[in-house]
Amino acid sequence: MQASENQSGKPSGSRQMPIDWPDVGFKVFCFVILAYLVLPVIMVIPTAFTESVRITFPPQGFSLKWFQKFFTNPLWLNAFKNSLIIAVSTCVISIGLAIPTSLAFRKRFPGKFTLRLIILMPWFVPEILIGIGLLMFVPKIGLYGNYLSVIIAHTLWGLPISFLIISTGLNSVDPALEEAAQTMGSNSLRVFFEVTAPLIKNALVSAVLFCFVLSFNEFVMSYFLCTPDIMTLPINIWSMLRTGFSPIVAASSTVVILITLGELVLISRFIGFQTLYK
Amino acid sequence: MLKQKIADLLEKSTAYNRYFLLAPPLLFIAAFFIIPIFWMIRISFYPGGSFEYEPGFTLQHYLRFFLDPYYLGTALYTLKITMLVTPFVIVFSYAVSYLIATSTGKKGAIYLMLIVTPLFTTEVVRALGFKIFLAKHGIINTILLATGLFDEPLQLIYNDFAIVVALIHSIIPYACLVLIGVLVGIDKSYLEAAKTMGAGRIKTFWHVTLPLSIPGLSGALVVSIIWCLSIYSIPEFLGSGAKYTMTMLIEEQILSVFNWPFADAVAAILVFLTVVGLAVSFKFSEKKEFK
Repeated sequence: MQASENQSGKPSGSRQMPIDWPDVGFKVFCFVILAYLVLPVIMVIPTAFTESVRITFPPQGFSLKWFQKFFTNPLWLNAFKNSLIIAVSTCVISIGLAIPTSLAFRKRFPGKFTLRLIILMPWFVPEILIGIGLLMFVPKIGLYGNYLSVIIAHTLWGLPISFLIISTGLNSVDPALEEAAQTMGSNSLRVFFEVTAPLIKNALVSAVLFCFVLSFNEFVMSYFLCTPDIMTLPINIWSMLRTGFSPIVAASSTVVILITLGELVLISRFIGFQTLYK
Repeated sequence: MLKQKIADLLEKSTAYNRYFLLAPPLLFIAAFFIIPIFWMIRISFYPGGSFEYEPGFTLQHYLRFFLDPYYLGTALYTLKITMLVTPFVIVFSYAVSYLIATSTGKKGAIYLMLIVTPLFTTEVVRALGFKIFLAKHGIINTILLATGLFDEPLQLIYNDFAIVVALIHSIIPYACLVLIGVLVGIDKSYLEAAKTMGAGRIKTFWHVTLPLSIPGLSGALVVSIIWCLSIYSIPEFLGSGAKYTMTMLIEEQILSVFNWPFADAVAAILVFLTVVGLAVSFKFSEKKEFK
């Protein structure tokens, strides 16, 4: 039971044996499920290239006009800009909080288990509950309608995931290296930036990518917290979907899907997704 | 001597450092997660209704939810959807997780990639994808009509079927992540022992792998139930609109009716169910997830 660790893994000798029907049946079953998982996302892409004024399948003709409309319409561009601002800020704050957290968690200390649970908690609580909680609370501190309200909500997800990833990265760093630097007179901050950070570069990059993807795609919390000024891309897609079925929605969804897929491919290059279940 | 002193100093400084390092994230979570959730629960006890509520204590919102057949109906409808979705989620995600856990090399990584793609793609886009598949002139109906088996398109969307199909799709990745972790962690020597003792593949699976994956299965079950209870956009977008889930009720009460205490009461019930579910699943998988 080893997943994807063994890079040289070629099934040896299984070719000579007769066809293993239960195994084939199982694999077919699994592939059907995998197709079911991926196709509803992927099949949105071709519909964005249609020439007609409604989303149809199969798409009629080929045109880029809906992408052109997306990239020239101020409403969509504004939503795109908002999504980027919120996602980048979420990355910065999440990583900024996750690095000290993961450093503190390297050693054993009393209450470690409970504190870890508290930090991971937002990851397990449905976003609708976080969204409503923040909607009730955010006006009290004067942040309603401010980018910060949505950034805070997304950071509640970004922090646990970056914490998990950076912690995994730190596990493979030999503390002796850092201690050596420390005894040679570097202060903690310098030790981190000059010794530790380069060693966990992959984990840091992946944590940034994860935070970006999470924030860029987050819908429910933003839905409760967004005012028209700070509307994100998923919110705009949602409100357009409710009123019609224009291919511009497919075009904007395609932009979201391609950005997401690009980041996921990058993540798989850096550390892979094993951190998510380990 | 000097070395010992340095080590002591380092030890002491890390203890201070630890509080210094942990303060910002813990304050952040306290301020923007714990306090808001408790605040929400507090408001659910405030007397009042649409647009107006005042501090105080009343159970009227909870009573209203449980005594009014319409509101209680949203809970029953949510429960019905959950019961339809969960068995499929468990079976499908167990199969895929088993495939991933037993795959070697690049294949496993590719399967994992296929699972995380819908996980990270926003649910709004997934809802659109299902509409493209299930609509009257969508992909499925186009194919069915082309085969000649049906004369007219089937009604696949705006009903419970669409909700269930899309919910299963949304929840499988979460359940998979729980299950893969447990399946990968199963000690291979057990399987080899079973093999040496003459057990076939199916027997080994039934008597060794499956019992050992119970922590994962219970975790996946809880994950599935929690997500079924709390997904908003899919029932809203793919459902008939005539029947409400609890999340749709919350959304309506907050953004259209503005009866915040009542919405908070419904949300507090969901918080309660989530906490119970998580407590149960941690009990089962304590060692695994939080070592």
